[in-house]
Amino acid sequence: MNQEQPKTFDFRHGVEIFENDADLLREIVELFLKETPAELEALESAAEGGAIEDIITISHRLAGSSAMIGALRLSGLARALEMKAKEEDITEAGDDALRIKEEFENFRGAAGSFDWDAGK
Amino acid sequence: MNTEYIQAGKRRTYIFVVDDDPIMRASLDKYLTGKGRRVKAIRDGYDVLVDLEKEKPDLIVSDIRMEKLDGISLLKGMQNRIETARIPVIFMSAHADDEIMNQAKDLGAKFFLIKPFPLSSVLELIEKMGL
Repeated sequence: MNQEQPKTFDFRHGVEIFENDADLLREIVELFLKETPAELEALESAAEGGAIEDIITISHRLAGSSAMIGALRLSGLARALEMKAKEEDITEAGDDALRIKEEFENFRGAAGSFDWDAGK
Repeated sequence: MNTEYIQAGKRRTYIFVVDDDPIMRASLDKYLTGKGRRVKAIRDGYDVLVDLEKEKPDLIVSDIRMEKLDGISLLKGMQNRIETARIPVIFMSAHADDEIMNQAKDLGAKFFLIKPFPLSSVLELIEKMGL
């Protein structure tokens, strides 16, 4: 099946969530960039410690918030980890957490280099 | 009467926005405030029950899955008190939360939004409620 990969930063998706208000989306993206590193640290610790409930809670939250702002690849990775943790399959949770962290940095780069004025 | 939120002779609808995700809280807070509603952003269902001792919103927009006290326990807590039992609740959830959503429906919850949703859909629901 030829399925399109979700984008690291899908501006169109994000701005539609925010009723085409690019300024509000940008404000929330900045908040996301500030708040998420602590979540990622907590996710890594939970994965290392095998804390299933914490993995589910954090990855669930991360999947939701990243989908809101158009960080669709990140959202997909977090949702996949959440689903696996719900099945009590956390053998690769450490690697998954690392991939999520890498994708967050990709998103940071994409949002940072995005031409917000042109996107309005 | 608290005149702080009287605007142009009309009382602004007062909404509790409840989510343990700061991004969702801030998004709804800013959006709904921009649409003329008065919003209190709250992190957890437990804090809502504490706040409901002091004040009553017109509506609660709440995540269903939260760390300390989830939406189901919040709804039960509200239904156990006559003065909060009738406050309408809009639940926000993810597709993956079918089980917990069904529990909420069994308790009488009527309004659900599946994340991610356009923020305008919250406003549409609020307007349909006449709030």
